[in-house]
Amino acid sequence: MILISFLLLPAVLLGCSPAVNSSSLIPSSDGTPAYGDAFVTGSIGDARTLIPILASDSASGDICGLIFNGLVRYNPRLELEGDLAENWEVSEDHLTITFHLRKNVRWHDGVPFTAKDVEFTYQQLIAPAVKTPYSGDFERVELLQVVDDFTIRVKYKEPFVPGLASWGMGILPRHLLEGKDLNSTEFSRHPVGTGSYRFVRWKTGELIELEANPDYYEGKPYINRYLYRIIPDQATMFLELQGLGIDSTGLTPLQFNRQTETSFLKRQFQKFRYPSFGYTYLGFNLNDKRFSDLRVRRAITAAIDRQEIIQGILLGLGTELTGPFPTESWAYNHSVQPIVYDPALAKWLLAEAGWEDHDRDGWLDKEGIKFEFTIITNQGNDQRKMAAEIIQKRLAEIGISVKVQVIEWSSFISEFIDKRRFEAVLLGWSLSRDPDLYDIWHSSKTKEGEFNFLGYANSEVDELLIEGRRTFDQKERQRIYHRLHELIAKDAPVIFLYVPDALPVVHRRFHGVEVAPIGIGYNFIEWYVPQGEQRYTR
Amino acid sequence: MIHYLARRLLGLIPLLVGITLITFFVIHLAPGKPTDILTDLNPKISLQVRERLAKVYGLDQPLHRQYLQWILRMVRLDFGRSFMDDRSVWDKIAERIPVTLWINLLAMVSLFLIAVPLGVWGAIRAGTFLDHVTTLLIFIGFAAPTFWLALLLMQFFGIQLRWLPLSGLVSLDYDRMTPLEKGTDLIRHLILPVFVSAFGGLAGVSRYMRASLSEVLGQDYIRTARAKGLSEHQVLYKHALRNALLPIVTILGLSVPGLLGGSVIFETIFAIPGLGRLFYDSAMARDYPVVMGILTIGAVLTLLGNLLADLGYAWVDPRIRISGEK
Repeated sequence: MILISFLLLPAVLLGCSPAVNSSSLIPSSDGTPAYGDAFVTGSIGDARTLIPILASDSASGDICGLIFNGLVRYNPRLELEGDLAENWEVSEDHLTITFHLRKNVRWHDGVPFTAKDVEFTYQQLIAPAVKTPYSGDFERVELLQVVDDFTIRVKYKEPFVPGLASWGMGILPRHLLEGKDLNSTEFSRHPVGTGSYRFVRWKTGELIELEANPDYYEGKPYINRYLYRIIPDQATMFLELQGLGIDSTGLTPLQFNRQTETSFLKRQFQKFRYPSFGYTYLGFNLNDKRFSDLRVRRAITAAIDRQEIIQGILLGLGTELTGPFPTESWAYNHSVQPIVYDPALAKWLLAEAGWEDHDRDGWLDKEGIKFEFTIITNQGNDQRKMAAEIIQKRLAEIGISVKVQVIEWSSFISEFIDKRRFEAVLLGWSLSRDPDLYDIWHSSKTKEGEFNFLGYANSEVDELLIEGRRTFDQKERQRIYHRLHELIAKDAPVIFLYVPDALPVVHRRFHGVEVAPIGIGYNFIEWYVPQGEQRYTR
Repeated sequence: MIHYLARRLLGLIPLLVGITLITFFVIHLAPGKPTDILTDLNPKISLQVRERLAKVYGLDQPLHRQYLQWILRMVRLDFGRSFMDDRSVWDKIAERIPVTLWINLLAMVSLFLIAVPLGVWGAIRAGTFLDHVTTLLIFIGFAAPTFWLALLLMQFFGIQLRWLPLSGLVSLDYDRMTPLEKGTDLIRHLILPVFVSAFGGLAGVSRYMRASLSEVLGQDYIRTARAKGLSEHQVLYKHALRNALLPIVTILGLSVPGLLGGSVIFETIFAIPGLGRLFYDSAMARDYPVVMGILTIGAVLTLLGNLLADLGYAWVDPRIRISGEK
């Protein structure tokens, strides 16, 4: 369920802690910024490729985000701003975007960055033989034109707002890759980019090391080295944090609330908490005639106490939501009222729909058939399993019998989701920063392998989705998505359960760490360790 | 003998083809496709893209044709390229072999170095209170799950005492160490993983040793040796132990093919990039070329191991050689 957010932020924070002995307590210091030291983080998985247009896993995305730049990026308030492009303009007819590129940018090998590199990257993105999963957004481009060395004009077949954000894709160096097979080139293990950090080495399954790029167009980052350790086990990761073998990691709610409350860890680490960019939901197969009845869906929504799930599973470290956008997004409509927990209402609605306990066996039935269904979820996510179990208990109280089945990821997708063999699913979406949700909610996206696997269809929603993609004016676009939010909330095709909080910790010697709607890590190049506190020196 | 060898070697070929054929089809029976993993459930990745990827990987072709292409490449010793990162399968496997081989070798050596004396000690003191206590302890250790034991040891030696590093193979500043420091660093990192992987076999091997020695000690020739007036030391080490070691040598021989089989559990917990993790990750990602590559190498090694064992028998026992030639 990882929606790749590489485009948007060097997701610097997944990690662990550096191993130094405990006597090196952090002295108070004058706190002036200084160059030097290393940031050590940990990742469950190793990267697969360091070519941004081929990278689809989060580890590869994290590293590519530091080595490469796109033309645009999201600022801390989740608005698009120029990155390699200084600015851009959109034509009157909304079909053409003209990017004006920065002139002072060099590749890590010293060669100047130009519009030719952008053109080359685009050609690779749409080349059929290149194994990129991101071609979709770029196939909507009708024509890409290099106006001069620092101007690029992109013409779309029809107005396509998410197209702008898609230019956050990392740009590749033409002078190193032209004529090479991108799929198999050695470049994927020795990348050269324009980003704040440049590649040093990659020991497969162990470590990726980057160093500060002194020639970075925004200035040299303070932290000298960036070390990405591969630690596949969560328990080991937490031990490494305690042993100071890593400087940063993402915590589980239990670790955040209890296990990090020791005086040692509190002294060493600073904890952060902010809503993540995704949500967990219970979705119904809307082709099932029990769930195609709105009353039944609303009844089940009212029968589930979302606060109980957030308290029980996330230990309170999450928020409720009412619609399909992350709560931090400008598209989220805060005026939509949630359906509150009300089992009596749930029973009444079900009775309206014909579901009553006619045979007095304790379970609801209709036309002689008992109301029972199975919730499936994927293996490896205990929070989802536990949420399903709480739902199971609450629904039993109103007379619906629920089974829970946990299935290995690949089978889960190919045998159950893609083939629509489920009654209800408990899953999550991590979303991109652009609020376009066409692929998830549009009624045309229901083929095998597409993402509207619940079979949701609402013609007004369909229209709004298309309109949202064509409207560049943010105010207008916000109005569209607020309306969309309202409609989906009313239809209740899924029960929006919670937005889990991201819970990173960072070692206290790092200064300048700030939380914004986009999270932390967006200003990584401004983080620093004052001279006296530096740990990794050479 | 040469005739026998040639015949046996030729006989391996259809066997190997059979093994790969069955594994290939069984792997593809597992639900899921490599492209599922590659693309997760990412709404930015459209259906058309997934279909295109399947085509690039050749997954749209019928299974028998995929197998045919695979075996034709194999004949030229080309293992193909991984679906995950497009690196050569052979490179991916080869870079992991040294780590796995060394850890397994060290673990095996330490296992026998600890287990054999332990067994001997148990046999001499068979039935005493101390023997019972040791037996109990060994079996508690045997029953303890590896991952749990590993975590406890890491917590104790790594966090509480801070004597040993927690995970990984080398420290972050390894490259800037002197050769002596490098060696120490490597050893410090290896202590826990080697101990944990040896520990599981301790109960088995030490019990074999104890049983075998106890049995030998009850033999007539031991009584004779004692009657001759040999010292207990000579009886034990010169006569009894040598004979009692035979089954242990057999076990040792049988564990040789396992030297390349990595353990997913301890490699994961100690963050060691070995073959076990490569195999596990590839299987979870349905990275067929890598999975097939590892299984094929395993099959070849097992077949060769068997062949060597048979040749050894044939060499010592003419009956096998002769019946083989009929």
